[in-house]
Amino acid sequence: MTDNAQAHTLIGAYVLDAVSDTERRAFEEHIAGCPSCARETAELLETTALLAGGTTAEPPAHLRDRVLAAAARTRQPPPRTDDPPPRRNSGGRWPRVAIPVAAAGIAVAVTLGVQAVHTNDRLERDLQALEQVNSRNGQVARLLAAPDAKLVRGEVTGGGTGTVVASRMKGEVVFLADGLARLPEDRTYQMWLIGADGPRSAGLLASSEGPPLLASGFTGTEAVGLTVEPRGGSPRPTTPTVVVLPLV
Amino acid sequence: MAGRERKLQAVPDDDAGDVTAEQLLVLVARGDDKAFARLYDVVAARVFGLVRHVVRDHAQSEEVTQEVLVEVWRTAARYDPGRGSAVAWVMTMAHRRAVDRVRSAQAATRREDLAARRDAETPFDAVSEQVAARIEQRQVRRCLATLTDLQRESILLGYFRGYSYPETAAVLGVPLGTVKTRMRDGLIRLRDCLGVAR
Repeated sequence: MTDNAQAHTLIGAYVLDAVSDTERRAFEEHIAGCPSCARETAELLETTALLAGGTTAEPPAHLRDRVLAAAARTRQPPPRTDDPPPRRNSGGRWPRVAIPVAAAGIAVAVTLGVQAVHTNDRLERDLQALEQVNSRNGQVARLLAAPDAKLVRGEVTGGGTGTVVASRMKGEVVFLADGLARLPEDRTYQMWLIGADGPRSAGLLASSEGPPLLASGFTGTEAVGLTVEPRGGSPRPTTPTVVVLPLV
Repeated sequence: MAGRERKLQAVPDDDAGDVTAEQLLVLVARGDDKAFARLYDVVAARVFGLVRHVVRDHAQSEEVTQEVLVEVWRTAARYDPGRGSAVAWVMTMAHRRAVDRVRSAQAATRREDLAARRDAETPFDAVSEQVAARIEQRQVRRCLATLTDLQRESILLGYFRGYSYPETAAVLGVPLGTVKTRMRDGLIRLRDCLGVAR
């Protein structure tokens, strides 16, 4: 139930291919038993297809010959026309559950006459600018860019998950909280870098749903831990950790 | 083969008008190469346009586009018209392939490239508006404009850039839960605005 609810919140991210493989599997299991979820998923996939329809670009002419030649060399699995179409599709993310979507109606909505759009290069530049400007916290973006960036996620005692992205090369770590239990006014979550010398404070989480918390001085030998501390934080942890994310 | 000839008659080369992508895909599933060529003409610009945004490298975009379309040829029998449009089926496959391509080793390069170029000082709102404005299809543009900034940014970065939702959260500087929610409610708002059949 909790797992299902958790999976269901991922529907948008799933449709955008913005989930991990594990999350994708969990979501697909979820919708296999939930026709209304499968239907919503299918509708949102139709929606993204329309979004893509605004950014068409003519491929080079030689690609057509290459694709047709490659197809001619590629065997299709033998057609089994008397069977109903298979419900499972390892080749795509199509939901496995039959959905009574009115395909004809959708076909009308999808404009098949492909309009040449000549402004793709500008869209491309604008997307770049959007990413750049949005990297208000440039350090977070650089951290994500690090070749050794490592992502670890774990369940937090009391609810929610913690995700850490860490890079030894950058010496930085960022913590992302998701759905942590709300704390009383006089308590706060505190992040710790836990190394051979014991835990070292890496900052306080502004709230249970706060923005990413970035800490530097990461040497690559630590785990990241989270404890609940009195407001203002503690020099050393005073309670057991609610999550420990090992980074080695 | 008699059956083959009947299919060719059903899809004459000189009549590009009335056949839907759904019908073409059904013919492709039966090995009809003419139908596949026609389907290519219908979807290739769409696929290539999307893949190019996500993958960014031109040569690799061609490769991925080819992979996607050959996969369409190979697995056409799995398409079930009862579950959605042919174009959405193809685009779903295309997006997944493109994202797979950038998620591996290239992710690092892609973002280093991004970090290296981070010198733009364009005001944020202006950029967000420009992005929406460049998406030419009028209805899509109009509907994107009905989203909140955060909904629009989460969807554009996720869809056209292939960012995972934790990455999107980090880039936008907002909590993970917020990004998940905005991706979903933004897509729902787009769906309703675009009139996707329900």
